Amino acid sequence: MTSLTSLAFQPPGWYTGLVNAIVSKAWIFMILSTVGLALGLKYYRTLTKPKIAGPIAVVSALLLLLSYYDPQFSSIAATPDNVPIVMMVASVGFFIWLAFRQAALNDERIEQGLPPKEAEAKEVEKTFVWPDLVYIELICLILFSVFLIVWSISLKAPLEQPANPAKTPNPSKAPWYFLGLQEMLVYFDPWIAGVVLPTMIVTGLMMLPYIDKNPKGNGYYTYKERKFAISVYMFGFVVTWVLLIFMGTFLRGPNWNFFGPYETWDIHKLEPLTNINLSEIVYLRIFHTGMPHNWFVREIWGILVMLGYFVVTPGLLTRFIPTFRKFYESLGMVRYSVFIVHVLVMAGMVIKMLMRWTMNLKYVVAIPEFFFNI
Amino acid sequence: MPKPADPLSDTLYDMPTLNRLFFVSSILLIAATVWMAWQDYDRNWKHFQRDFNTVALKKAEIDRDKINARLEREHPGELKALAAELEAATKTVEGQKDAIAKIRADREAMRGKLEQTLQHFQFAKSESDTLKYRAEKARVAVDEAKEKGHPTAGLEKDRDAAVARFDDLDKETQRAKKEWEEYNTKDVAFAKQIDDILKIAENVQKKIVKLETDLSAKKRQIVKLEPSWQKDLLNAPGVDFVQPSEKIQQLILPHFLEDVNFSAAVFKVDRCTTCHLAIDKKGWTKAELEKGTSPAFFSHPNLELYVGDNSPHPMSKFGCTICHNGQGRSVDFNYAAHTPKNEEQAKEWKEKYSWEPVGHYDTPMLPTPYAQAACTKCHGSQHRVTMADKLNEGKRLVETVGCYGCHPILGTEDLRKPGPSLYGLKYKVTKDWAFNWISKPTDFRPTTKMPQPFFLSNTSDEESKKRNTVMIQGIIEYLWENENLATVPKTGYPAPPPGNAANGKKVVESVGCVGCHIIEGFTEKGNEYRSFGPNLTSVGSKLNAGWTFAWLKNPKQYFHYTSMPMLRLTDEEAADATAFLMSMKHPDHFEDRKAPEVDDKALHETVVEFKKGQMSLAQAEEDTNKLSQHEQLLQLGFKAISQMGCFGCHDIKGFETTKKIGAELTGSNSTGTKDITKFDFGFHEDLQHGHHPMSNDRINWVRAKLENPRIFDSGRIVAYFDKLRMPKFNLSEEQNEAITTYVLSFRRETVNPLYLRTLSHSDEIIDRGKRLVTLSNCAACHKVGVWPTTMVLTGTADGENNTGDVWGAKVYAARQILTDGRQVETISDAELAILRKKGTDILVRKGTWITPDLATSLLEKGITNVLVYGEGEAGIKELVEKTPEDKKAPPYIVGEGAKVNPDWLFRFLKSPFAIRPWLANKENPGVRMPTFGFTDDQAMLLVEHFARVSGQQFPFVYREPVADDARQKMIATGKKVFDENNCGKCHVVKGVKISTDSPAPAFAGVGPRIQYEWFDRWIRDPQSIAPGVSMPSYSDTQVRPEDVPALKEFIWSLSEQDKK
Repeated sequence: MTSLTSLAFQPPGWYTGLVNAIVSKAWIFMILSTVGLALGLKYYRTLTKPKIAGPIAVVSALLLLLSYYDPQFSSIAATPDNVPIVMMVASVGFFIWLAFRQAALNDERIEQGLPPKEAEAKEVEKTFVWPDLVYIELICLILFSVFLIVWSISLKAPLEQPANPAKTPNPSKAPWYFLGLQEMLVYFDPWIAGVVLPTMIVTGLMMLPYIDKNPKGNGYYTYKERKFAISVYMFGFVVTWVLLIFMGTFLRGPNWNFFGPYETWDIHKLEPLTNINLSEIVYLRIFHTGMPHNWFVREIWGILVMLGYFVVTPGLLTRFIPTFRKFYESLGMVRYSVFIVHVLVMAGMVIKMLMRWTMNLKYVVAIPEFFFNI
Repeated sequence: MPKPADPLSDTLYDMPTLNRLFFVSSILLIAATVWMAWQDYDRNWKHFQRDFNTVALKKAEIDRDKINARLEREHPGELKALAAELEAATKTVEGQKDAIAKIRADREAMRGKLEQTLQHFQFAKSESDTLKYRAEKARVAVDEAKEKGHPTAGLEKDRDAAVARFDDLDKETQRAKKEWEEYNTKDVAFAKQIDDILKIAENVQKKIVKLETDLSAKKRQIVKLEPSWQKDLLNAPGVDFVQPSEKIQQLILPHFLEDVNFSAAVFKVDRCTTCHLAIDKKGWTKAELEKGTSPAFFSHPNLELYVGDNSPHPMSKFGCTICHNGQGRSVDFNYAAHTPKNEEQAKEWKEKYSWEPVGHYDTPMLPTPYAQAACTKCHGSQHRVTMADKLNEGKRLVETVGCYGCHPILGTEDLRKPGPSLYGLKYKVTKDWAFNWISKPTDFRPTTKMPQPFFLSNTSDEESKKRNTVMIQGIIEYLWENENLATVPKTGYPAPPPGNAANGKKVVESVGCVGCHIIEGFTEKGNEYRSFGPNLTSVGSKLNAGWTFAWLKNPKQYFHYTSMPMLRLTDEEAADATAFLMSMKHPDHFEDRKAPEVDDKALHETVVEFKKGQMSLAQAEEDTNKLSQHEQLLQLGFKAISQMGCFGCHDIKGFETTKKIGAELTGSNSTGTKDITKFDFGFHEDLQHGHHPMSNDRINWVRAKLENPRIFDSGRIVAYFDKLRMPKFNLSEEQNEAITTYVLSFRRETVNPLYLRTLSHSDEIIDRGKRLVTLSNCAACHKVGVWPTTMVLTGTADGENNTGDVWGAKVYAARQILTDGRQVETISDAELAILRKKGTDILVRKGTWITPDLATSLLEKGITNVLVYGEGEAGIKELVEKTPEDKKAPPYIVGEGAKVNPDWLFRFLKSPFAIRPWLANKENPGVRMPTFGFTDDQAMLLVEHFARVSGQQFPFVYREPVADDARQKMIATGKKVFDENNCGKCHVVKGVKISTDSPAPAFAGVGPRIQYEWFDRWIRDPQSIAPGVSMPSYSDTQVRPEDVPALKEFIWSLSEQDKK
């Protein structure tokens, strides 16, 4: 990509400035992404039409190409380590489109009383291992070999100096697939970010078959028939996983500061880091008193908030939102509790991040006396 | 995926389409594989090797032609004659063809017999060997049975039979042997007959081969280098893993370990020679190669010292990156971390090799101007590293400008504070002078070593200027309040006796001041030695006359550790010199400049600001308000001195034990190895990676820091007392480079002791002595041996050459030069005997003066680089000797250790006296050896240093005793020789004054002073010891060799008689 940057051309300043301004404010970026996802889910039928999705893809590709002309962007995006992440973002987009396009077509058919496309006689017929499976696998194998060879020739692995455990690079980044977890460490103590949250991802996935008993969508694409499940999954996957990887790769610079995609990674950049605990907000700002000496008195508000979040919220949801009431009725107390706790943890994670970005909230419950911080 | 066209098809997908897809992807795979192989074939280093082959071929052809030409020159027509001779001889052999055929036929006819008899003999021999064994065994069996008392009769019978059988067969074997030998002798005779005929031609052939040895070797080399399809095939892409001629070359250094952090260290591996293929070959220089040849193919520019097999740093042991740094394992131009030496080279590399500064490599190559920074890796124990001129210069500068005053640097612990004592400053200068001096020292003395601490780039805003001013005023207030002089009365130094400035000028000019000081009017031209002391040109605008007088009389009474020696001036001389010095005023009348009035507001603010760092703001205000202006100034002065570290260079009362303020440059945070991220570049990204043509951030940082010590504050908002505080030194570009080189040489790494240069006792004394010689500035007045360096002899063998060009003086071989061109430090007799057998001898002995004649013979032998040492500057000579006849300059002290007795030298150094007192007079008080006030240790070190440098034993010099009557006889003979040669004409004998300007020393002092052995060389060739000396040489006819001991005995007896 050096050949591109050596050209005098660069993306216009108003464009890079605008994008930097939006994206470098993490909360705006995250809310915009979530709103974008919600809109996408709402208008999925229109948006996935090739006539509309095509131009969107072309414009995105052009923007990406344009961005490569920016020296800062290309210095990060063209790094051999980061090239697969660009490919990943593109392929995530493509496969989401593919799935929702199929779902949109099927949903239309179902509305018209037709079976889904996958259920057509021709499709359900049995096929041969040879040639239908093996031949295609062989071709895939060849094409992937070509791809890997070309990749390894064009993006060379350099011979660098021996690694030094006493000297870490700045920024020090996890492998790309762990960048989401690394991002969590900014907001939570390691025991939450590194232990509880990953465990809950695994347990949540394990429990899916026991919680989601909706048989619709088995063997065919649909969105309309399992709106809630797909929306929650999309939020979890796109926002709290892919988006965090994207942020970790492209937006986190030296000293783990947040940078816009076209912003120079200045090692001297300083961000105010005067984060405060919930208890400090309560006592210093609301009550205008000093901090209580007893930790329990001090943190009682945070504890109440946490209890409220995990005890009162499920009740309210069940009481006032029909979808949740329906779940409660069909799942029963135990399974519903497991379900709601996982959903609340996922949402809570994002809520905490937003509160950090907007209110500098450090911990909701902060009890350093025995290393319990949430 | 396309559906089958035929709706009845069994398959899900359309097979022809899949086939086409398969075809296309297979083609792609083949293409990708071919590309992969091509990529490997196209690697950068392979291109280098191919290019090198072309260059090498061309060079070999040129060399071949040269050899041809040389053969033609040295043996004109001989080859042609030999060719004709060979032809004739071949013809003769041809003529004998029938004879040869006949002999061969006869031989062939006999061959059957020969082979049969041989076989018979061999069979008989092997069988008889078996029978011999059986006979022996049977004999042993009989013996054993006898011992045990068993019956032996049967055994004895067997034994006799076996012995008899062996005897029979043995006889037969001997006979068969004889028979075969007869035939064999005949056969050898036949062979010789044939040989004799063939030899006629072969002998001629041998002569040709002998003459053409070099040529045929070259020819073989050319054949090897010539392109061929076999080689192309072996190097072809895809096949080149089998036995290619193009391959990665590497040097493995199993004893030099590289720390890879996680495991134990690994061997150092250097692959540099993959491209630098001729680095260890002689003659691959720019001049000898075709224009435009890549510098990658040049030989190392200094094969004598590095890389060469006989050099002290052979490639097989030292590789490349131990000295050059960089990534030795890489064969890629960029990843090897090449560093250009300047912008121009960076540009060139970018074009030629698409060079880019490499990321992620801590120790990129040292660019050539800084290469000597690597020497200390192994030579760290030496104060001065032989031949590392820039590094040594850097060390000298660090020791003289005084970097160690603030920065702890290992190896400088024994040095005094670099600046003068301020214990009694108020007696020396005025407050006004001091203020203007500290504000900007170069205003008063442009060449000063005193760095400027205030009014620099980060303290030049209006606010800081006010603070600077009160800070300086505070410092002065503190210094005036805190004197610490035991020897000075409270009233200060009394005014000096009145002096005559004109006489004073003569004193200053002649006693030796000008060796160390520049004084406008007679010594404008500065050199390293003359800038040792401060430039005295405007000193009258600075000093207090009373102080100056006392100082000239004895500098040590004011500053015990001063380098300024005592010149033993009389009161009158000192008064005259003072008058002269005081008459030299600054051209801009610096003495009239006044210090500004103290700005109370600024003072108050500044005091509050520094107190704020130690207490609360309110308390600081309150505290300050309580203080008078004088007290505020005193407190601020104390703070300023601690803040700026003035005490690092100067003795200041109250700061005797304060720690140095600068970062340590050696030890765990050594500048050369400290993590680059720990260097604060501030906002100067332009000096960093990828933004600067010099891709070595560390060098950029140090250079920039030396150039403008406050540079990394630029753009920052920093409180006054938090600003960077390194003062700005007065350094030229070259000096900056030298200091940078030295500072980069501070490295913290583990080097295998095998690689460390360990000093023998003698080497260590020489090394330590060299530093003391430098720090005492001996070379200002004396020619001392300078450290060895390489001299490149140029010119033609029979014409002019440059022997006089180095230092404009004589140079001496620093090593033995052997006739085969090797230069060795020392050589034992045993070794020499072996070498002599092989035809190698010593061509030039160590210490021999390289005369034009000698240079010619060296050039003839093809020796162009000679390791030499020469003489020091002795710049004072031209100043104190007005005419060539004037022989008043201080003596040469090259070889002093061999000349004088150690005990005499020790006493002389401690307390020098005039050896030629008659040379001094009122008009010219005479240059003199000053009293340095060396400690016993220092004097001892110098004495031993001079002894070791001259290859002398230390400390005792033995002299064979002579029987008294023999001695009397010798003295009588000696006196005769003495008188014949008229020695008394120039030398003072027995106090008889002969002339007032003869520089010849009195004989009275010779005995205790001069070494007995030294005289032998001196009398024959004094010029070789002290070039330019008036003493004539005495030839064998003037002083016969057998008379020399007698002459010595006589001369030595003169000092004894005098004693009586």
